[in-house]
Amino acid sequence: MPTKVLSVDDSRTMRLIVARALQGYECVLCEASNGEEGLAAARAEKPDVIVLDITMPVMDGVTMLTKLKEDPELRKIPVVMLTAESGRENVLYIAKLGIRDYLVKPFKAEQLVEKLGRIVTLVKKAVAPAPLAA
Amino acid sequence: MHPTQSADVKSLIAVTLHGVFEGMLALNVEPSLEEIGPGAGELVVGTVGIGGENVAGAIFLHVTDLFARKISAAMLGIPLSEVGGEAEVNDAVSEVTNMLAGGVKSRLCDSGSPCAISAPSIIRGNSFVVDTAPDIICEKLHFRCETDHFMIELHLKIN
Repeated sequence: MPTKVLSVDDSRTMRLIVARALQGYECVLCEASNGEEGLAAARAEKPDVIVLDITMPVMDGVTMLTKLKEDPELRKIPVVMLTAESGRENVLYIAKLGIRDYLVKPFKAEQLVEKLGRIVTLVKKAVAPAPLAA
Repeated sequence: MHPTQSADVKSLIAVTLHGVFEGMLALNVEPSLEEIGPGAGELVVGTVGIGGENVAGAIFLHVTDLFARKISAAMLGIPLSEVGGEAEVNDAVSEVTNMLAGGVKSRLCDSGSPCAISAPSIIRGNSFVVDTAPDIICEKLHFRCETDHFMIELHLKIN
């Protein structure tokens, strides 16, 4: 069964970057553009892992994570947080929120795959065999 | 060294900039003495506010519309011709500005000026200046990426 990944980010560009990083793997990607939509998607889709941005309108990533951890049905879903801030205080702060891991922007696609691969099983898509020459 | 000193602010921006452009976008950037030309057309300016108990300011990323589209293409890994409309380009510039601001914020926090950053916003236009109060440090740094010129402007006041 493909791994279900929920990507929550208000930036469509960042969601596309996450999608592009995972396009070579057997993944089903769900997307949400803020924490409120992310919580609804988490309840509906029960993803295997959530990639969560911090700064978002409507409901930010920290609030979404807090609500996720309060929900007995969702609290065990591992979360990888995306942050633009690499400072010590920020890293310590988000580490205490109950995340599984974090990634500081800018990041490379391989870094995201490596982080997610430590948490869930990422299976590379089979490469279609080349057509036989006539 | 506290990043209120001009040289340190420049080095702070340069390090963050290289991380974003070379690390994520695979675009080589270098300091430039040349400014964005007056005939460059509409500029796309990403801005993020910085605020804390003893610090206030903002960071601005000034790019031409063409370079903004190139940034969008590089972020999405698509040819320039496939870049979408203004919203998509604005989103990419916002995200790059957010990453630059995140780097500045981290450095300020680690050097004893805890602060937060705002959500990014975009200004588009071809004839405007950002004015500041006299006690605010204002650094304008010019860069080049192949044939494209762009500017990063940092306004900072630390009490």
